[in-house]
Amino acid sequence: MALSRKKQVYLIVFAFLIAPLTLLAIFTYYPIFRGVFLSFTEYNMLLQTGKWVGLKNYISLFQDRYFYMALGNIFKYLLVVPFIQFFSILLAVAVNQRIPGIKIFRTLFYVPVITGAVIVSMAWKWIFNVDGILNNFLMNAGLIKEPILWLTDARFAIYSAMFVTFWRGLGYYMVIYLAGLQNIPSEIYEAARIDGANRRQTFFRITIPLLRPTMLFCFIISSLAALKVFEEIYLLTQGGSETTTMMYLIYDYAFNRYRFGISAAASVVFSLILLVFTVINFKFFGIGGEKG
Amino acid sequence: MRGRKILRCIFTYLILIVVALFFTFPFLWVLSTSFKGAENIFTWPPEWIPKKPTFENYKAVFERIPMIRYFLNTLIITAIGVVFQVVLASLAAYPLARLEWKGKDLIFKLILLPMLIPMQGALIVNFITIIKMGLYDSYFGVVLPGAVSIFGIFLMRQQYFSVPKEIEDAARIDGCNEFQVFWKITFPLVRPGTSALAIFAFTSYWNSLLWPLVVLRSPDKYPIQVGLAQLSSTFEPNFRTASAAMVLAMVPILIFFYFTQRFFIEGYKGAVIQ
Repeated sequence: MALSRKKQVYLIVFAFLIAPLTLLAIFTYYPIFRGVFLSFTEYNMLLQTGKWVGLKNYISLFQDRYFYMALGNIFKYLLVVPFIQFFSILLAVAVNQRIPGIKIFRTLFYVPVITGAVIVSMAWKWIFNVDGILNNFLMNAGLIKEPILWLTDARFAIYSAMFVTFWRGLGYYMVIYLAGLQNIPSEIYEAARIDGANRRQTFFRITIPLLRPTMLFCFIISSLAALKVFEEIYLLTQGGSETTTMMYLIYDYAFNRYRFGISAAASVVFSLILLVFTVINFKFFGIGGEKG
Repeated sequence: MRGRKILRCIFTYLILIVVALFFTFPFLWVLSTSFKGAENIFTWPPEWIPKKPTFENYKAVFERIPMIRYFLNTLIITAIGVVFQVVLASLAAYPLARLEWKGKDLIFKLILLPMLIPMQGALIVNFITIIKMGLYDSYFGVVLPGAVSIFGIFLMRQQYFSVPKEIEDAARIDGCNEFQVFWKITFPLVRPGTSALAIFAFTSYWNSLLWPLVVLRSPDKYPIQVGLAQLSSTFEPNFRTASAAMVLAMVPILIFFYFTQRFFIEGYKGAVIQ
């Protein structure tokens, strides 16, 4: 009657893992292969079949000037990463103090993260408006003579989007750094204080080195997020004014123009770029799979 | 010495307040706009407190936009999504953390693989898959592709590791079978982890845009984020109505965060190992 312990263990392993693994197989592993195959076909949405076209999609992709624009933009977007890292560490240190009311400040700094991209981008869209607060302020301060088209002038649009990403991301990384800071045992700080270390020394000799794993984690996820940016672009400029990014291009090909094949080809190229980037990250920062 | 300390304290608060303004002023402006009447909203200096505050914009939201429907849809999608993510991650993580079996390492690596290998093709392929499964334009179509959270499995696995082996062994000696060990002993002990994961899942489903935008067609199934995004393009000139809608959309998530914020930090403490 009663199963042996070993059999019980295998029964649990099977029962607990079957559903998650099946879903992963369908929605995560399968798309890798299907996506590559799709990129060599012309997919007909109505018939739900694909016709093999060889490299045609790739050739069209490499002839599309928006593809190069998207590539340029995602690398430009990486500029956001060091700024986010630097300022979110400062913020985390600032809110890691034990002073009255600090919880309120933590909440306020996290508001842009919690409210999501749609609300944040809509609010900024109005600030960046031709007669919005920003232009009004700059003109009244005498810094500019005529309003700047923050979101429609190709010279500024991508940087405006980057600013919104920066502004929205700070709180998120702040919380991760805060967790990292709170993981540092307080005994180390006490020992340093007894040894006569001042604030600056403790920060550079203890806090920063012990925060390194967190910094690497944040560096990797924020750079991948920067390369994959979609929401700010979709909401602020609809990919116009030379702000298109790879994710926006993939979306645009598939769901505005119904060209699934070329969208899949763009996905394959983009995935390869991300892969190279991830490998470099891991090589340089020496992070093992388990710590991902 | 004492004077310096007080000065320092004032200075700290001053900086914190300035930073807080930097993070909140767009929302304050939205809030103020949502109460404004016919007057020009683009005046300078900006009018932070409306001269004649009005609730007209809020009334307009409910008249013109199916706001309640959007809320309901978001709640349904978020609830299904949270249940899926928490249950599946709690289940999957347990054998990976606490049981000894052949192939454990291989399976764990396989699960982590998508974190390392980016798969942008998933967007289109999953769209086709969802159509073929007959789930296009349905709540399940929105939820299912994100139902297994790899981050969640990782987070829960860390949580299970923190349970002392002795407690489990004691239960075994007392005659519990392996399932009872999980259900009665280990699972209740990882409550902080499941709470943190539930909260992460809540915010990610509540705020998701791209996938619901792609997989839903009927506006009466739109969650609030998609509804607002559509609003931003159709009601472009009507800042006041849109502002009121944004304020309404923000309130629940802010209240939610206020009461759960400690779990966010706890959750990341478990997830980012030193």
